[in-house]
Amino acid sequence: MTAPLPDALDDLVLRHVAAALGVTPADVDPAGDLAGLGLGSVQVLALLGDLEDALGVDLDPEAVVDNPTPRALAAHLRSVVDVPGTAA
Amino acid sequence: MGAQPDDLTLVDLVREHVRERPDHAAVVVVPEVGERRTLTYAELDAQAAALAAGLADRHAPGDRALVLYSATASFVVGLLACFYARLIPVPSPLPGGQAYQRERVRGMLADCDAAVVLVDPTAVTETAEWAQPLRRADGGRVVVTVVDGTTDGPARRGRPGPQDVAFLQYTSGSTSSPKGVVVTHANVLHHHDAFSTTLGLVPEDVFCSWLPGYHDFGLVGMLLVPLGLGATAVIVPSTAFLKRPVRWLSAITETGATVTASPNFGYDQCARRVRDDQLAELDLSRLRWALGGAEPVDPAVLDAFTRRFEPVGFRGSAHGPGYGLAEATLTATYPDRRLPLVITADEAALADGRLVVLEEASFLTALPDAAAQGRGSVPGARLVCCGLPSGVELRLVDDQGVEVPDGAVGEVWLRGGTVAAGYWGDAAAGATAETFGAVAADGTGPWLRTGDLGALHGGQLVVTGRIKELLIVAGRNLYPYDLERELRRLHPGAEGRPGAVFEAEGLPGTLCAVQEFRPTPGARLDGASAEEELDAVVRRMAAHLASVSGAAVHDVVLVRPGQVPRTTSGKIQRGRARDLHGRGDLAELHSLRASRDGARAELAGTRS
Repeated sequence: MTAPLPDALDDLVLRHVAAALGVTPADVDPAGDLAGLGLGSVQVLALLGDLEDALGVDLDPEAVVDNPTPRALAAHLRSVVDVPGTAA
Repeated sequence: MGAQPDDLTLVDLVREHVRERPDHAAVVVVPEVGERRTLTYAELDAQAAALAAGLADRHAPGDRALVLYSATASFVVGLLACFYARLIPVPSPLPGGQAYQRERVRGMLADCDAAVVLVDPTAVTETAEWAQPLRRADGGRVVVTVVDGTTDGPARRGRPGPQDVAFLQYTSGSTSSPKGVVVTHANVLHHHDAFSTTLGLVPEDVFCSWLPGYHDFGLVGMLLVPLGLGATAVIVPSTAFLKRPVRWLSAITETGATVTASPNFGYDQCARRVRDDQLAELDLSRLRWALGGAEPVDPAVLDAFTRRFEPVGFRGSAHGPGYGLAEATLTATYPDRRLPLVITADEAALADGRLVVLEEASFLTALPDAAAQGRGSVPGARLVCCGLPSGVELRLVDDQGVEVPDGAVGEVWLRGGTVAAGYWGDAAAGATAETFGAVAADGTGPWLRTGDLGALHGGQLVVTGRIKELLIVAGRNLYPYDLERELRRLHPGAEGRPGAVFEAEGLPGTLCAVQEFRPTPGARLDGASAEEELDAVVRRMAAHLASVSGAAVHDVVLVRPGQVPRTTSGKIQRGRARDLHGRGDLAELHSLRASRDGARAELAGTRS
């Protein structure tokens, strides 16, 4: 299977953040701080687990701390899944 | 359980199991990655006795030991070693990376003046670094001891007495003034007998939980009760569960667990987040009890969990919501399958302080019909019955301490062998007297005031609300005062000004904040910079509130000074703030919701 398209990763992150917040993806600011968008630490862990399952990769728990916006997180995911052999 | 000599403690029960079933699994850890690890009763005893010998050499009986929880067997070894060395264990989370987490653990350590910190090898470096600058009340260093599982060298198996303090439970009190509930060995044994007898638990039971060992349900219900029974306690790391709720259920499946427990939140996570393709690997048919408590139980969540997992063997009759609190060791009322589980009450009567039951249902009889749709067949408030008191006497009283008539709502008061000795330390003497020393109008006492409101239905407790303004999120107690103080610190415009933090209307477990705010003088109030400042402040406050509480934040509202409702004596009226917010009647300077709307509009290109 090929790595997801770049835009697909942005969509994936927005979709999961929106699900955790109970809003639609269009309501989520891609440049907003995840905690500022209203995600608590419990929801952040849930987001991490869901993204790992969706992409078939292991993510460092610090990934969300270091990349605290949906856009930055998607960029980080791109760097992780683009490495040959680790893509889902 | 039969009659027991007066001086027996949980330690005697554990020692008996060590002799009679040394090879039975005491603790099983199902880690997020890697193999399951098992500690038998003999291994647990040997490791604890070796650690106890070292502890008793360096510390005096009655010294406090902070036992840090790592979701490993070392936590249980540390607890038992404290019992053997006659130290007082104080279960605690790891200090963690965030400043507020470190502050909380440091506050507990200072309050109980701990002599030693027990920690798993995996967390020793960060813990030693954290503890290095800490000092005891007498200026001495706080010792960090690694629970490494060695069994070489001398062993010690001291025997605490019933009046000795078994542990301190810091689930009560705010960060600024932590309160440790003093639970004696007599409390633990009394609770153990009530819990295991009432629920019909046996040594063959397997307990499985993701609740951390510093949580009262995790510690007492899911570790101490199985150890007292000679049963097996399965530990699932909380982080593994929070990332993938299915891990809890697959651990139940793999270990053949018969008893589990979780706050409402855990069942909700499973019902919503376990995927269809994950169901195939699950088998929940051995589960006899899925206990609930630690936060209000939502009947719709029980329904949803049952419907989702019935195909993999879960029985709705396994649901066992109860009621309890750390101040009563753990559980005060226990589920009874012969009695109704869910009732529909008249809402107008409830608002008037009376429980008028319109309909009752158990999951045994009602599931295929209306209850399966998450509702009753008549309109009204659906409430979960929390069972019958056991091991404790329960009375519902009005604000004058007079027992309320049948069917009326009153505050839950408790007395008996499971009610703890009070809060730790002289500084908490006032709080101890207020909470543990209530005297009823008929002169009886002392009673434990729980701060919870409830009514009785056929002898069962139905919890209807709270007097104290405690927030309970995912089973954790949060104090509005602590969160409000955190928010005031974030900006000079909020400093020293009142704010109110409360649960969002209709969104349990989700927080809202209303904070009085004065924009920075000099910033043009009509200009872009003022708007940017307000926008940055609401987002910063939302981020901090989410981070400190662990809860999702629904809204943060900034209002002009004087706009947060309070009483004439200046007490914050959080309930009123919540009503105003729910109706949209607050005069907002700015809010998180407005900020989100702005960002959305910008995304859609409707704003220049």
